[in-house]
Amino acid sequence: MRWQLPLHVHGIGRSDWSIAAATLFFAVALWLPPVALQRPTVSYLVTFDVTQSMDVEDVFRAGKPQPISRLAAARAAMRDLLPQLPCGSRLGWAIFADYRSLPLVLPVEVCSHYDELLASLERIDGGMRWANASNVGKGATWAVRTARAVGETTRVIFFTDGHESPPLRTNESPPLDDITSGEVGGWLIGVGGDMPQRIPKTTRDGLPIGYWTADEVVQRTDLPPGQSREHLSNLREDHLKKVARQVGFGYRRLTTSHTLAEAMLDPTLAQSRPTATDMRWAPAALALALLLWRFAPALPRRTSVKRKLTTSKNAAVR
Amino acid sequence: MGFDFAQPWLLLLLPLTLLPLLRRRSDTLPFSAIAWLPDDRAGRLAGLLWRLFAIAAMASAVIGLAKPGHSGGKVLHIGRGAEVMILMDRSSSMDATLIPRDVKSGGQFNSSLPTKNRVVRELLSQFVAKRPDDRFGFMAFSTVPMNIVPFTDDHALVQAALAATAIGRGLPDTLMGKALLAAIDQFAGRDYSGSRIVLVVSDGGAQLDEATQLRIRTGLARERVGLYWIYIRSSPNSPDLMQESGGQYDSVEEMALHKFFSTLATPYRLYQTDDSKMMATAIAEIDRQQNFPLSYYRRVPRIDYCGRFYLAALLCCVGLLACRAVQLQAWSTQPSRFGRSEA
Repeated sequence: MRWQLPLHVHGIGRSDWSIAAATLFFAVALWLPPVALQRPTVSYLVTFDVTQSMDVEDVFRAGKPQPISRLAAARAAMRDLLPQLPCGSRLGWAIFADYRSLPLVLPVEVCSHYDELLASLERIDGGMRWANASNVGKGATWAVRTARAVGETTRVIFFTDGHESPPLRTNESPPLDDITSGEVGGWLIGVGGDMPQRIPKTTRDGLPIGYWTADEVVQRTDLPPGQSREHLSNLREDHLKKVARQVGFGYRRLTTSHTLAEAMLDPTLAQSRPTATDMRWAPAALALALLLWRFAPALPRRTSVKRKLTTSKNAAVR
Repeated sequence: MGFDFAQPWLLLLLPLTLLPLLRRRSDTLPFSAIAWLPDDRAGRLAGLLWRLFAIAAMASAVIGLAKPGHSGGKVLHIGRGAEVMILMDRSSSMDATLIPRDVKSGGQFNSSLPTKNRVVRELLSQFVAKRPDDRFGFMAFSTVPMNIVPFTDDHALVQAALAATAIGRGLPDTLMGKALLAAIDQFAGRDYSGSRIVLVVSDGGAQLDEATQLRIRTGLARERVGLYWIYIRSSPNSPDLMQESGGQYDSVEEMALHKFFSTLATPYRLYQTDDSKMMATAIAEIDRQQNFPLSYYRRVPRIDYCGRFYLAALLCCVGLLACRAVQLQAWSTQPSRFGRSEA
């Protein structure tokens, strides 16, 4: 007796072209590199106020009983927000102290430099302040100048509590000669509580040494003696709203990372730029559609009862 | 955070993947007397596989489309090369223009000349670009050290930090001692992987008191860190430290600092920016040292698993085609198996 393979290769029939095509489309999905598409992205130089009032621990986060410092709250909000930004968006870090902002890292793409952005964000703290003064209004104008120097499409996020030290004189406003309101878009983000709190005092080496007392800080001169309480700090929203108007920023209070996301993804501040986009879903979806079509039961045709009976009597060979 | 789907609603399509369990009339062959057929075990197996492959292919595709992934995950990386902490002077003296080589007089504020910051920025940027395997960190200092970029393979961030020093005026003061100690501290607690370097960039000397000198000396020895000083001559009175003897008007601070560094037990190199071969020498020096690979984790926003599911779907489709190839699909187009076995 002749030895024979139990199986015969019959070749692929015409009814299977859809499976062959699906195979091809899955292969395309596997191979397809990201495609550059125009998509809305944002680019921000995020400026953190690192002055001493930002060390006040009066910000409560959802579900946490202990308040954290204003600076820590700003950092945490930024950390939570980072994965929510669309790829192709760019973020850089800057700090504010004294009267000016200092860029630390210019904006880089958020998805491909995710770990590095987080790692450098974690290192932004009070130890970086090179001076103790805090002229927030001037700082906002510096944030505008800095963002302008970085590039046209760079916007500003400025986390601050609005605590001016030394306090402003009545009707004092920062010099705005070289700035037109709104030339650089952005947001002032108010961080802090409403109750005036004592400000922790630290040495240059970052060691805590109690709190600032009334006679150690410059008090306001436009109030009767004893009424000025500049050694206490709370979020000064009215002042920040005024500063924001002057430089053409929006103002938001930091409540949840959702408010921050909403502000940062504001369409008027976004730019469309070519962004590497994963398009593998398209061939994969096509392949799936082909398979579904191939395996969907035939729609019931208008056939006679007699024919139906004959067919059901015929057993399936498979 | 763990495994999740970016488009979970697409999983609603999963019940559709059971469609292959319904038999299609067009996949059957009419035969008048089923009882006459011999038992076809291979055929039955192929039929079962056919349905399994079909379900698996469609289920994999649906899951892949729902974008499975791991949020907040970490990816293992293997680092090679040296670890270099760049410590850059961010004081306002760096905003001054550079004095040309061999000129001992003349205007320091000649606007046609590049600023010192720009000269070192460009040098360092090239240096980082030419050392793709090294891990770099970046710190700036004035009155305080600022730890800006911790050690990373991602040189784009180091370049972004370097570029940031171009914007805005410098800060007051140059407290190098504190900054050096902070830079040395960055190596503490890290796995030792070979050459470790603090690359300090400064235009001036700094007076280091004896206590600070001692801490620098022991710190460098403890963490086994070499010190490279990229020195920019800042004024006509800045000494040329490459020369053995200084001029009589030379500022003594730089000389004293250089002398102190030269007494270190750990490696010390001086590079002067007006030396055109400076960068090549520095690179060659680092290359001479041996490095061990170092593994570490990098956080990623999301690890995507789509590809694996598309691959599974592809393999299942290949399986389907294979099943089909061994099955009889119509009496008319294929020679009869039974006819042949009877022969």
